[in-house]
Amino acid sequence: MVILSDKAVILENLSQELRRGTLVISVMATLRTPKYGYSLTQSLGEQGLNIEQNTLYPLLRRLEKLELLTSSWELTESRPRRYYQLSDLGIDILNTLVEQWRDMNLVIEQIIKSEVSL
Amino acid sequence: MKSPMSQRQMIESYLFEVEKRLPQQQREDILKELSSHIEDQLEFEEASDSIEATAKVLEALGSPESVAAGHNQGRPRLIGNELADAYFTALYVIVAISLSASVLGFFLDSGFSVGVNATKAITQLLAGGIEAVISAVGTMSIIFYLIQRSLNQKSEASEKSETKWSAKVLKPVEKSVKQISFSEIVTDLVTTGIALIFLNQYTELIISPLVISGSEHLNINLFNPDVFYGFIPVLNISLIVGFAFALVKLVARRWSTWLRWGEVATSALSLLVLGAMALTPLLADGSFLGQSETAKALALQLGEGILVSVKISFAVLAILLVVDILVHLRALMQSRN
Repeated sequence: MVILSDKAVILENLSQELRRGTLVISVMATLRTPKYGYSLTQSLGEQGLNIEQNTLYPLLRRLEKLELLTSSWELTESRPRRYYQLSDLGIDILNTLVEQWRDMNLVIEQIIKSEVSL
Repeated sequence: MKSPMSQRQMIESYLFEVEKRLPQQQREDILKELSSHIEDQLEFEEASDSIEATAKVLEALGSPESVAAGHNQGRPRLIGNELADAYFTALYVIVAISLSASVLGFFLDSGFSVGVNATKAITQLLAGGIEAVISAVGTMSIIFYLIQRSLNQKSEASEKSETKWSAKVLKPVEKSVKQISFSEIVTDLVTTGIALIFLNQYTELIISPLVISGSEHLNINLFNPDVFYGFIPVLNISLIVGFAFALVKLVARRWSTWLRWGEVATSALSLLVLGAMALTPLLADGSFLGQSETAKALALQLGEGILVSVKISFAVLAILLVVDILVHLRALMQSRN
Protein backbone atom coordinates (compact mmCIF):
# COMPACT_ATOMS: atom_id res chain seq x y z
CA MET A 1 0.00 0.00 0.00
CA VAL A 2 1.27 3.47 -0.91
CA ILE A 3 1.34 5.69 2.18
CA LEU A 4 0.63 9.40 2.02
CA SER A 5 4.24 10.61 2.09
CA ASP A 6 5.13 8.20 -0.73
CA LYS A 7 2.19 9.48 -2.74
CA ALA A 8 3.44 13.05 -2.32
CA VAL A 9 6.92 12.03 -3.46
CA ILE A 10 5.57 10.18 -6.50
CA LEU A 11 3.39 13.15 -7.43
CA GLU A 12 6.28 15.56 -6.97
CA ASN A 13 8.57 13.48 -9.19
CA LEU A 14 5.97 13.09 -11.94
CA SER A 15 5.09 16.81 -11.81
CA GLN A 16 8.75 17.67 -12.15
CA GLU A 17 9.02 15.37 -15.15
CA LEU A 18 5.98 17.00 -16.72
CA ARG A 19 7.35 20.51 -16.09
CA ARG A 20 10.82 19.74 -17.36
CA GLY A 21 9.75 19.47 -20.97
CA THR A 22 7.58 22.57 -20.81
CA LEU A 23 10.32 24.74 -19.29
CA VAL A 24 12.41 24.77 -22.47
CA ILE A 25 9.56 26.00 -24.62
CA SER A 26 8.48 28.58 -21.99
CA VAL A 27 11.99 29.98 -21.56
CA MET A 28 12.57 30.12 -25.30
CA ALA A 29 9.23 31.84 -25.90
CA THR A 30 10.00 34.45 -23.23
CA LEU A 31 13.39 35.16 -24.78
CA ARG A 32 12.02 36.52 -28.03
CA THR A 33 13.01 39.84 -26.41
CA PRO A 34 16.36 40.14 -24.53
CA LYS A 35 16.23 39.39 -20.81
CA TYR A 36 18.75 38.74 -18.03
CA GLY A 37 18.40 35.83 -15.63
CA TYR A 38 16.56 37.56 -12.83
CA SER A 39 14.16 39.45 -15.15
CA LEU A 40 13.41 36.15 -16.88
CA THR A 41 12.44 34.43 -13.61
CA GLN A 42 10.26 37.44 -12.76
CA SER A 43 8.61 37.40 -16.16
CA LEU A 44 7.91 33.66 -16.00
CA GLY A 45 6.77 33.95 -12.38
CA GLU A 46 4.26 36.70 -13.25
CA GLN A 47 2.73 34.34 -15.80
CA GLY A 48 2.47 31.57 -13.22
CA LEU A 49 5.58 29.55 -13.99
CA ASN A 50 8.04 29.52 -11.11
CA ILE A 51 11.48 28.37 -12.07
CA GLU A 52 14.37 27.85 -9.71
CA GLN A 53 17.67 29.56 -10.33
CA ASN A 54 19.37 26.13 -10.14
CA THR A 55 17.31 25.02 -13.11
CA LEU A 56 17.24 28.25 -15.09
CA TYR A 57 20.92 29.13 -15.49
CA PRO A 58 22.11 25.64 -16.49
CA LEU A 59 19.20 25.52 -18.97
CA LEU A 60 20.22 28.89 -20.44
CA ARG A 61 23.78 27.67 -20.83
CA ARG A 62 22.61 24.48 -22.51
CA LEU A 63 20.43 26.39 -24.97
CA GLU A 64 23.27 28.79 -25.68
CA LYS A 65 25.62 25.90 -26.34
CA LEU A 66 23.09 24.56 -28.83
CA GLU A 67 23.18 28.04 -30.45
CA LEU A 68 19.48 28.56 -29.81
CA LEU A 69 20.30 31.61 -27.67
CA THR A 70 22.86 34.36 -27.85
CA SER A 71 24.11 36.24 -24.81
CA SER A 72 26.03 39.40 -24.07
CA TRP A 73 27.14 41.21 -20.92
CA GLU A 74 25.56 44.61 -20.39
CA LEU A 75 27.89 46.78 -18.32
CA THR A 76 26.08 50.11 -18.40
CA GLU A 77 23.53 49.30 -15.66
CA SER A 78 23.95 49.34 -11.87
CA ARG A 79 25.71 45.96 -12.08
CA PRO A 80 26.90 43.74 -14.92
CA ARG A 81 24.04 41.71 -16.36
CA ARG A 82 24.05 38.98 -18.92
CA TYR A 83 21.28 39.35 -21.44
CA TYR A 84 19.95 36.35 -23.37
CA GLN A 85 17.99 36.41 -26.58
CA LEU A 86 16.68 33.83 -29.01
CA SER A 87 18.94 33.37 -32.05
CA ASP A 88 17.62 32.91 -35.60
CA LEU A 89 18.05 29.18 -35.22
CA GLY A 90 16.27 29.42 -31.85
CA ILE A 91 13.29 31.23 -33.40
CA ASP A 92 13.05 28.58 -36.09
CA ILE A 93 13.22 25.72 -33.59
CA LEU A 94 10.78 27.44 -31.23
CA ASN A 95 8.19 27.84 -34.01
CA THR A 96 8.39 24.12 -34.76
CA LEU A 97 8.24 23.24 -31.06
CA VAL A 98 5.16 25.43 -30.60
CA GLU A 99 3.41 23.64 -33.48
CA GLN A 100 4.33 20.26 -31.99
CA TRP A 101 3.17 21.43 -28.56
CA ARG A 102 -0.23 22.46 -29.92
CA ASP A 103 -0.67 19.17 -31.79
CA MET A 104 0.38 17.20 -28.72
CA ASN A 105 -1.94 19.22 -26.55
CA LEU A 106 -4.88 18.38 -28.81
CA VAL A 107 -4.03 14.70 -28.80
CA ILE A 108 -3.63 14.58 -25.02
CA GLU A 109 -6.88 16.49 -24.49
CA GLN A 110 -8.70 14.01 -26.74
CA ILE A 111 -7.20 11.04 -24.89
CA ILE A 112 -8.13 12.47 -21.51
CA LYS A 113 -11.67 13.32 -22.66
CA SER A 114 -12.33 9.90 -24.20
CA GLU A 115 -10.94 8.07 -21.14
CA VAL A 116 -12.94 10.24 -18.69
CA SER A 117 -16.21 9.73 -20.64
CA LEU A 118 -15.85 5.92 -20.45
CA MET B 1 34.24 36.07 20.62
CA LYS B 2 34.00 36.27 16.85
CA SER B 3 32.06 39.16 15.32
CA PRO B 4 29.02 38.21 13.23
CA MET B 5 29.41 38.05 9.46
CA SER B 6 28.61 41.08 7.37
CA GLN B 7 26.30 40.90 4.36
CA ARG B 8 29.27 41.11 1.99
CA GLN B 9 31.15 38.37 3.83
CA MET B 10 28.12 36.08 3.68
CA ILE B 11 27.76 36.53 -0.09
CA GLU B 12 31.52 36.11 -0.63
CA SER B 13 31.53 32.95 1.44
CA TYR B 14 28.54 31.56 -0.48
CA LEU B 15 30.15 32.34 -3.84
CA PHE B 16 33.43 30.79 -2.68
CA GLU B 17 31.64 27.57 -1.72
CA VAL B 18 29.92 27.44 -5.11
CA GLU B 19 33.11 28.38 -6.98
CA LYS B 20 35.20 25.46 -5.84
CA ARG B 21 32.59 23.00 -7.14
CA LEU B 22 32.22 24.51 -10.61
CA PRO B 23 33.83 23.48 -13.89
CA GLN B 24 36.99 25.56 -14.14
CA GLN B 25 36.38 26.96 -17.63
CA GLN B 26 32.97 28.42 -16.74
CA ARG B 27 33.76 29.45 -13.16
CA GLU B 28 34.19 33.18 -13.72
CA ASP B 29 31.13 33.53 -15.92
CA ILE B 30 28.81 31.55 -13.66
CA LEU B 31 29.94 33.39 -10.53
CA LYS B 32 29.54 36.80 -12.14
CA GLU B 33 26.01 35.91 -13.16
CA LEU B 34 25.17 34.36 -9.80
CA SER B 35 26.50 37.40 -7.96
CA SER B 36 24.42 39.70 -10.18
CA HIS B 37 21.34 37.49 -9.56
CA ILE B 38 21.82 37.70 -5.77
CA GLU B 39 22.13 41.50 -5.92
CA ASP B 40 19.01 41.73 -8.09
CA GLN B 41 17.04 39.52 -5.75
CA LEU B 42 18.24 41.46 -2.70
CA GLU B 43 16.84 44.69 -4.15
CA PHE B 44 13.34 43.22 -3.90
CA GLU B 45 13.74 42.23 -0.25
CA GLU B 46 12.68 44.40 2.63
CA ALA B 47 15.68 45.73 4.55
CA SER B 48 17.82 44.58 1.63
CA ASP B 49 21.08 45.51 3.37
CA SER B 50 20.36 43.30 6.38
CA ILE B 51 22.04 39.98 7.06
CA GLU B 52 18.60 38.34 7.46
CA ALA B 53 17.55 39.41 3.95
CA THR B 54 20.83 38.07 2.54
CA ALA B 55 20.39 34.75 4.34
CA LYS B 56 16.83 34.51 3.02
CA VAL B 57 17.95 35.11 -0.58
CA LEU B 58 20.80 32.60 -0.33
CA GLU B 59 18.60 29.98 1.31
CA ALA B 60 16.05 30.43 -1.48
CA LEU B 61 18.82 29.75 -4.00
CA GLY B 62 19.75 26.56 -2.17
CA SER B 63 22.97 25.11 -0.83
CA PRO B 64 26.20 25.84 -2.73
CA GLU B 65 26.38 22.11 -3.52
CA SER B 66 22.97 22.13 -5.20
CA VAL B 67 23.72 25.33 -7.15
CA ALA B 68 26.98 23.87 -8.45
CA ALA B 69 25.32 20.52 -9.13
CA GLY B 70 22.89 22.28 -11.47
CA HIS B 71 25.82 23.33 -13.64
CA ASN B 72 27.45 19.92 -13.50
CA GLN B 73 24.55 17.89 -14.80
CA GLY B 74 25.35 15.38 -17.51
CA ARG B 75 29.00 15.23 -16.45
CA PRO B 76 29.41 11.95 -14.66
CA ARG B 77 33.03 11.96 -13.57
CA LEU B 78 35.10 9.88 -11.23
CA ILE B 79 36.76 13.08 -10.03
CA GLY B 80 34.51 16.11 -9.72
CA ASN B 81 35.17 19.80 -10.31
CA GLU B 82 36.08 20.55 -6.71
CA LEU B 83 39.04 18.18 -7.02
CA ALA B 84 39.84 18.47 -10.72
CA ASP B 85 42.43 21.28 -10.42
CA ALA B 86 44.17 19.60 -7.51
CA TYR B 87 44.08 16.23 -9.28
CA PHE B 88 45.68 17.47 -12.49
CA THR B 89 48.33 19.53 -10.67
CA ALA B 90 49.28 16.57 -8.48
CA LEU B 91 49.21 14.29 -11.52
CA TYR B 92 51.56 16.47 -13.60
CA VAL B 93 53.99 16.80 -10.67
CA ILE B 94 54.00 13.10 -9.86
CA VAL B 95 54.26 11.97 -13.50
CA ALA B 96 57.19 14.38 -14.02
CA ILE B 97 58.96 13.13 -10.88
CA SER B 98 58.34 9.45 -11.66
CA LEU B 99 59.49 9.85 -15.25
CA SER B 100 62.65 11.74 -14.23
CA ALA B 101 63.41 9.19 -11.50
CA SER B 102 62.90 6.36 -13.96
CA VAL B 103 65.27 7.90 -16.56
CA LEU B 104 67.86 8.82 -13.93
CA GLY B 105 67.56 5.39 -12.35
CA PHE B 106 68.17 3.76 -15.72
CA PHE B 107 71.39 5.71 -16.26
CA LEU B 108 72.55 5.15 -12.67
CA ASP B 109 71.94 1.41 -12.97
CA SER B 110 73.76 1.23 -16.29
CA GLY B 111 76.63 3.41 -15.05
CA PHE B 112 75.86 6.06 -17.72
CA SER B 113 76.88 3.67 -20.44
CA VAL B 114 74.30 2.33 -22.87
CA GLY B 115 76.67 -0.40 -24.04
CA VAL B 116 76.64 -2.32 -27.29
CA ASN B 117 72.97 -3.23 -27.36
CA ALA B 118 71.48 0.24 -27.80
CA THR B 119 68.06 -1.03 -29.00
CA LYS B 120 67.64 -3.15 -25.88
CA ALA B 121 68.68 -0.21 -23.68
CA ILE B 122 66.21 2.17 -25.33
CA THR B 123 63.42 -0.43 -25.01
CA GLN B 124 64.25 -0.81 -21.31
CA LEU B 125 64.24 2.96 -20.86
CA LEU B 126 60.87 3.32 -22.61
CA ALA B 127 59.36 0.42 -20.67
CA GLY B 128 60.59 1.92 -17.40
CA GLY B 129 59.15 5.32 -18.33
CA ILE B 130 55.76 3.89 -19.32
CA GLU B 131 55.63 1.81 -16.13
CA ALA B 132 56.43 4.90 -14.05
CA VAL B 133 53.73 6.99 -15.75
CA ILE B 134 51.05 4.27 -15.46
CA SER B 135 51.90 3.69 -11.82
CA ALA B 136 51.82 7.45 -11.04
CA VAL B 137 48.50 8.01 -12.88
CA GLY B 138 46.98 4.92 -11.25
CA THR B 139 48.04 5.86 -7.72
CA MET B 140 46.92 9.49 -8.01
CA SER B 141 43.59 8.50 -9.60
CA ILE B 142 42.84 6.00 -6.82
CA ILE B 143 43.74 8.53 -4.07
CA PHE B 144 41.57 11.27 -5.60
CA TYR B 145 38.72 8.87 -6.39
CA LEU B 146 38.62 7.84 -2.72
CA ILE B 147 38.61 11.51 -1.60
CA GLN B 148 35.84 12.24 -4.13
CA ARG B 149 33.80 9.29 -2.92
CA SER B 150 33.98 10.47 0.65
CA LEU B 151 32.96 14.01 -0.44
CA ASN B 152 30.04 12.58 -2.46
CA GLN B 153 28.88 10.52 0.51
CA LYS B 154 28.94 13.63 2.69
CA SER B 155 26.90 15.71 0.22
CA GLU B 156 24.45 12.82 -0.37
CA ALA B 157 23.95 12.57 3.38
CA SER B 158 23.26 16.31 3.63
CA GLU B 159 20.86 16.14 0.65
CA LYS B 160 18.93 13.31 2.29
CA SER B 161 18.71 15.09 5.61
CA GLU B 162 15.29 16.59 6.27
CA THR B 163 16.60 19.95 7.47
CA LYS B 164 16.77 22.73 4.89
CA TRP B 165 20.15 24.25 4.10
CA SER B 166 20.80 27.32 6.22
CA ALA B 167 23.07 30.27 5.40
CA LYS B 168 24.16 30.21 9.04
CA VAL B 169 26.59 27.37 8.24
CA LEU B 170 28.65 29.72 6.05
CA LYS B 171 31.94 30.85 7.51
CA PRO B 172 33.65 34.10 6.52
CA VAL B 173 36.41 33.71 3.96
CA GLU B 174 39.48 35.01 5.76
CA LYS B 175 40.92 37.85 3.68
CA SER B 176 44.35 38.18 5.21
CA VAL B 177 45.36 34.52 5.18
CA LYS B 178 43.25 33.00 2.50
CA GLN B 179 45.33 31.75 -0.41
CA ILE B 180 47.92 29.01 -0.04
CA SER B 181 50.80 29.79 -2.36
CA PHE B 182 50.62 27.45 -5.36
CA SER B 183 54.41 27.31 -5.67
CA GLU B 184 54.66 26.31 -1.99
CA ILE B 185 52.32 23.36 -2.57
CA VAL B 186 54.13 22.27 -5.73
CA THR B 187 57.49 22.55 -3.93
CA ASP B 188 56.15 20.36 -1.10
CA LEU B 189 54.83 17.79 -3.58
CA VAL B 190 58.04 17.74 -5.61
CA THR B 191 60.44 17.51 -2.65
CA THR B 192 58.49 14.86 -0.74
CA GLY B 193 57.77 12.94 -3.97
CA ILE B 194 61.42 12.90 -5.05
CA ALA B 195 62.57 12.02 -1.53
CA LEU B 196 60.08 9.12 -1.34
CA ILE B 197 61.12 7.67 -4.70
CA PHE B 198 64.85 7.99 -4.08
CA LEU B 199 64.67 6.78 -0.49
CA ASN B 200 62.89 3.60 -1.50
CA GLN B 201 64.18 2.89 -4.99
CA TYR B 202 67.76 4.08 -4.74
CA THR B 203 68.57 3.50 -1.07
CA GLU B 204 71.98 2.05 -1.81
CA LEU B 205 72.90 5.03 -3.97
CA ILE B 206 72.06 7.39 -1.08
CA ILE B 207 74.14 5.34 1.36
CA SER B 208 77.02 4.90 -1.08
CA PRO B 209 76.89 7.49 -3.90
CA LEU B 210 78.60 6.48 -7.12
CA VAL B 211 81.63 8.56 -8.05
CA ILE B 212 83.24 8.20 -11.47
CA SER B 213 86.95 8.84 -11.52
CA GLY B 214 88.45 8.34 -14.95
CA SER B 215 87.62 4.79 -15.93
CA GLU B 216 86.95 3.76 -12.33
CA HIS B 217 83.53 3.72 -10.67
CA LEU B 218 83.77 4.24 -6.92
CA ASN B 219 81.10 3.95 -4.24
CA ILE B 220 81.65 6.36 -1.36
CA ASN B 221 80.25 5.08 1.91
CA LEU B 222 78.43 8.20 3.01
CA PHE B 223 76.04 6.79 5.61
CA ASN B 224 76.29 3.91 8.03
CA PRO B 225 73.97 1.33 6.37
CA ASP B 226 72.77 -0.33 9.62
CA VAL B 227 71.76 2.97 11.17
CA PHE B 228 70.37 4.41 7.92
CA TYR B 229 68.12 1.41 7.21
CA GLY B 230 66.73 1.77 10.74
CA PHE B 231 65.57 5.29 9.87
CA ILE B 232 63.83 4.37 6.60
CA PRO B 233 60.39 3.51 8.11
CA VAL B 234 60.35 6.76 10.14
CA LEU B 235 61.51 8.78 7.13
CA ASN B 236 58.82 7.14 4.98
CA ILE B 237 56.10 7.99 7.49
CA SER B 238 57.30 11.57 7.71
CA LEU B 239 57.47 11.94 3.91
CA ILE B 240 54.10 10.25 3.27
CA VAL B 241 52.49 12.53 5.87
CA GLY B 242 54.16 15.53 4.19
CA PHE B 243 53.05 14.43 0.72
CA ALA B 244 49.48 13.70 1.84
CA PHE B 245 49.32 17.05 3.62
CA ALA B 246 50.50 18.84 0.45
CA LEU B 247 47.60 17.16 -1.40
CA VAL B 248 45.19 18.35 1.30
CA LYS B 249 46.49 21.90 0.86
CA LEU B 250 46.10 21.57 -2.90
CA VAL B 251 42.44 20.62 -2.45
CA ALA B 252 41.72 23.22 0.28
CA ARG B 253 43.52 26.08 -1.53
CA ARG B 254 43.07 28.43 1.44
CA TRP B 255 44.55 28.46 4.91
CA SER B 256 42.26 27.57 7.77
CA THR B 257 43.02 27.14 11.47
CA TRP B 258 43.20 23.36 11.30
CA LEU B 259 45.36 23.48 8.16
CA ARG B 260 47.82 25.73 9.97
CA TRP B 261 47.91 23.36 12.93
CA GLY B 262 48.45 20.53 10.45
CA GLU B 263 51.36 22.44 8.90
CA VAL B 264 52.89 22.99 12.34
CA ALA B 265 52.46 19.29 13.18
CA THR B 266 53.99 18.00 9.91
CA SER B 267 56.93 20.41 10.16
CA ALA B 268 57.45 19.42 13.81
CA LEU B 269 57.40 15.74 12.79
CA SER B 270 60.02 16.36 10.09
CA LEU B 271 62.13 18.36 12.56
CA LEU B 272 61.90 15.54 15.07
CA VAL B 273 63.04 12.96 12.51
CA LEU B 274 65.82 15.26 11.32
CA GLY B 275 66.92 15.91 14.90
CA ALA B 276 66.98 12.19 15.69
CA MET B 277 69.04 11.55 12.55
CA ALA B 278 71.46 14.37 13.36
CA LEU B 279 72.00 13.11 16.91
CA THR B 280 72.66 9.53 15.78
CA PRO B 281 76.07 8.48 14.38
CA LEU B 282 74.51 8.21 10.96
CA LEU B 283 77.42 9.23 8.83
CA ALA B 284 80.01 6.62 7.82
CA ASP B 285 83.63 6.85 8.88
CA GLY B 286 84.94 7.39 5.38
CA SER B 287 85.84 3.90 4.16
CA PHE B 288 85.87 3.70 0.40
CA LEU B 289 85.56 0.95 -2.13
CA GLY B 290 88.16 2.06 -4.62
CA GLN B 291 90.58 0.11 -6.67
CA SER B 292 93.56 2.45 -6.92
CA GLU B 293 95.24 4.76 -4.38
CA THR B 294 94.66 7.83 -6.62
CA ALA B 295 90.99 6.99 -6.90
CA LYS B 296 90.79 6.45 -3.13
CA ALA B 297 92.36 9.87 -2.49
CA LEU B 298 89.94 11.49 -4.91
CA ALA B 299 86.99 9.67 -3.36
CA LEU B 300 88.17 10.78 0.09
CA GLN B 301 88.18 14.40 -1.04
CA LEU B 302 84.77 14.11 -2.69
CA GLY B 303 83.44 12.19 0.28
CA GLU B 304 84.47 14.94 2.69
CA GLY B 305 82.80 17.50 0.41
CA ILE B 306 79.60 15.48 0.32
CA LEU B 307 79.66 15.02 4.11
CA VAL B 308 79.94 18.78 4.63
CA SER B 309 77.08 19.32 2.14
CA VAL B 310 74.92 16.80 4.00
CA LYS B 311 75.60 18.55 7.33
CA ILE B 312 74.82 21.98 5.84
CA SER B 313 71.64 20.61 4.21
CA PHE B 314 70.52 19.20 7.58
CA ALA B 315 71.11 22.56 9.25
CA VAL B 316 69.36 24.57 6.49
CA LEU B 317 66.40 22.18 6.50
CA ALA B 318 66.12 22.44 10.28
CA ILE B 319 66.15 26.26 10.10
CA LEU B 320 63.49 26.25 7.35
CA LEU B 321 61.28 23.92 9.38
CA VAL B 322 61.62 26.07 12.52
CA VAL B 323 60.79 29.21 10.48
CA ASP B 324 57.76 27.45 8.96
CA ILE B 325 56.51 26.43 12.42
CA LEU B 326 56.99 29.96 13.79
CA VAL B 327 55.24 31.61 10.81
CA HIS B 328 52.16 29.41 11.23
CA LEU B 329 52.08 29.73 15.01
CA ARG B 330 52.21 33.51 14.62
CA ALA B 331 49.33 33.42 12.11
CA LEU B 332 47.33 31.23 14.52
CA MET B 333 47.92 33.68 17.37
CA GLN B 334 46.88 36.59 15.14
CA SER B 335 43.68 34.86 14.08
CA ARG B 336 42.82 34.28 17.76
CA ASN B 337 43.23 37.96 18.52
